Amino acid sequence: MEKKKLIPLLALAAVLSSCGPTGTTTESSFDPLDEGDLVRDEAGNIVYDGVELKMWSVTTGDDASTQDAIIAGFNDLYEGQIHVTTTHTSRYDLETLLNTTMQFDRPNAPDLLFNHGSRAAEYRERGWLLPVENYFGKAETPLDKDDFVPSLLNAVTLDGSLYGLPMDVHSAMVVMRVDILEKNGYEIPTNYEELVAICDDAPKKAANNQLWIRGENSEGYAADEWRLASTASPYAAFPISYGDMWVHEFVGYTAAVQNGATLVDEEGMPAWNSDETAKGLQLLRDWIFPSATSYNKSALSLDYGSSYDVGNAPLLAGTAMFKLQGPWAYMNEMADFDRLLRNDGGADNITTRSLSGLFTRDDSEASSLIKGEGHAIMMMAPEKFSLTKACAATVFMDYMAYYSGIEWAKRGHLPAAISVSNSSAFKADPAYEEYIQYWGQPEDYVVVPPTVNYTYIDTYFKNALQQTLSSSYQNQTVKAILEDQYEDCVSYIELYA
Amino acid sequence: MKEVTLREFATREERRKSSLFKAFSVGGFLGPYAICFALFFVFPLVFGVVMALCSFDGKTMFPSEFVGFANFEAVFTNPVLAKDFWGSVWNTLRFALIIVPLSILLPLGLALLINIKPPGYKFFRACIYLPGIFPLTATGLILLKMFDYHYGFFNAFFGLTLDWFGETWSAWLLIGYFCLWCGIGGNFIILCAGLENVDKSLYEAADVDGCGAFSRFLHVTLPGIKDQLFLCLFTTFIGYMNLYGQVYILASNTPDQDAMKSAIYRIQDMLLGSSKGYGYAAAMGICLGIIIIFISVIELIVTKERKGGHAHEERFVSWQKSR
Repeated sequence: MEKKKLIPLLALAAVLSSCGPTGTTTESSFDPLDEGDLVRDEAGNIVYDGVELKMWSVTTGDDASTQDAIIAGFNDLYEGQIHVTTTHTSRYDLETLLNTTMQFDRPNAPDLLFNHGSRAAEYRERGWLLPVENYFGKAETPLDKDDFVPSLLNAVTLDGSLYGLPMDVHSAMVVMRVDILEKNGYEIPTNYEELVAICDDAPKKAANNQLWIRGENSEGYAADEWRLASTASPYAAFPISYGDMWVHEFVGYTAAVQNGATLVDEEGMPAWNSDETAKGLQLLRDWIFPSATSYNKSALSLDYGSSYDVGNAPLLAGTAMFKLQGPWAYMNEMADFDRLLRNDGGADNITTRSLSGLFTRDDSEASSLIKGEGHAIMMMAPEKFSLTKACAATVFMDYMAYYSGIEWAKRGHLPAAISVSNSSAFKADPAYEEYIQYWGQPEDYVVVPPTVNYTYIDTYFKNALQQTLSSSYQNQTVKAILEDQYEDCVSYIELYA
Repeated sequence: MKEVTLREFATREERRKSSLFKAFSVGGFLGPYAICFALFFVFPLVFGVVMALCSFDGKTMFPSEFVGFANFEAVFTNPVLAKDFWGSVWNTLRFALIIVPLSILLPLGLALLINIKPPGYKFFRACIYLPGIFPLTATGLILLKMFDYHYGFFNAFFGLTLDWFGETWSAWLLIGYFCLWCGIGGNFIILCAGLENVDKSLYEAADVDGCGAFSRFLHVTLPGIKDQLFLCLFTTFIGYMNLYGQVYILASNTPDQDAMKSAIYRIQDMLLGSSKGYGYAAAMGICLGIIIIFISVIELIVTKERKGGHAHEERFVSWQKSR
């Protein structure tokens, strides 16, 4: 063979030889008798002498500051023994960073990962996680699995092993203008039917020049001055948009589960192509595009089309009575109203409620369910395993699950540990009385069950939701849209299987 | 031992030093580029081909098994993969067919106007190039706000009720506008430079021959900037066949995503989740590359200068003989 031809072939062969598993997965098999690098004192307790734990956290902004304060409390308590250093990375960058680090730079991988529990199945499939339960036993750190919300524990339980400890759960919630509701003779709605009754009546009142509103305006009124809503445009009390993250992350799924839908089947395949899901999404479609057969006769929301966000303007202006929001932003919301209506009650003019019961007419057990997302602390499979670090990690996990309760809940993250959310200390906090109690019980929250197909299941469900709420898909039934997206979703999963 | 004369020794030493110097010179000047070229061009290219011939287990970024042409076969035969990929290629091609001529004609018109050198032409020249230096994301976000269905300035000002990013046709229209806004600056500069270099004496000769403005443009200007036009044609076409950022920014929220995905966007989608789709993505990338090469070759053949060879000379000789 000519030399010239041989060289590229050799180069190709060299690259091809790189094929094959090259990962450095070090998922250790646990030996209960192995003491590894553990040091014990005379009483047999593990000695933690300056153990450094590195954690990557998906939290950013105010959440990150709150978490740092909680972790600083842990570091103070265990000063000289265990110290946790946290790096915060947004969820958009975390996946790439993890991918790169776990494959090419594992010595610099974190010991712990604070991320959404629903990701555990995919991470574990890649060999990134260690099962944690045995290390709790080794460290004699108490672990009562019955004390955790079942759905959250299930998300990090894979093939019977626990791959992380659930910390919290959150969802979107509803902010309500109490002042406008009261002024117009409405009660705070507790279910879908009550909500629709208000949202059907308010446009009629507005059209008859009888609906009182107040808030930010450019018409020369003071923000706290009552005025009658304009008759020029239809009044929509509860604006939503399919581009809004509260809708595509939480409301779509919540509408499905409240109507009895299952999101993922036992094989980890999508199960949302059901009549129950179609019923839930149809309710959301009617929310914007009411029809002769829909329960609501007026639109609860204007059609925001492809707009990414409804924004704060309608609620601040009083041109809406309800708004979807992330619970971690509720404190900011209160601050806004303290400023806006400072002469007349401030933040007392708003209240908050969970999504429970707001997206179904059924009175079943499922109607109270809320689709949530929970954080969990997972233990990463390191290049060099240290039993002392693994045991120290369980001490930290325990602290985070049981001692960060109320402060973390103020940011909208309800504790995954049931004993914490039921404790008198938790309920005695003024924040609980003021707003946390209205976000419901953690047991009402359900997260997507563990599946390695999470990315596809989530992406195609959101596509279906978006098309359902889009004006350009009104000629297609919700069921047809769901079937279409389901087929593509399953085709891709099967292709990769 | 063989005896060596002083002259021979000196000559050999001189040659050795000279060869070493040449080797160092070549290595010094070429080395950094060669290393970068190998690292960032040759390696990705070769590795891309290797990836296209392998499957991935989803655990690592490295190939797990050699599968030959199975990934290519799937791109052509797997119903969902073929539908999604070839649909996106068709979207991209249709868009390129419209946007490429516009991306050349528009800057050509502007370059011709600037070439007249009206007062303040340098300012206008800078203004035309300016949008190209703004980050794509910033311009995209401004467009998103401007054309927002509900709060957008454009709909409010003109009293429209059009969901620009909700309808497929209007989303593509705005992507086209976005591409032109950001993209014409480069072609404009190339064409301006080309127009500067057209021989002025040819215009004088054309005037003497009684050419009108259009004839001058057709027979003097266009042939004079032919090379620059071809350069623009090739680079613009290749650029828009790789369309991604503009679609990602403007049309990620358009409900009919199948109608909005460009080929690169679809390939990017294959990288969702784990690495299991990398082999298919690489195969799609190679298919797209081949399509671009194929169309570029056709462009090259169509635009190739037809030289007469000796035909004119032979005709002249035969004409002379006939006299």
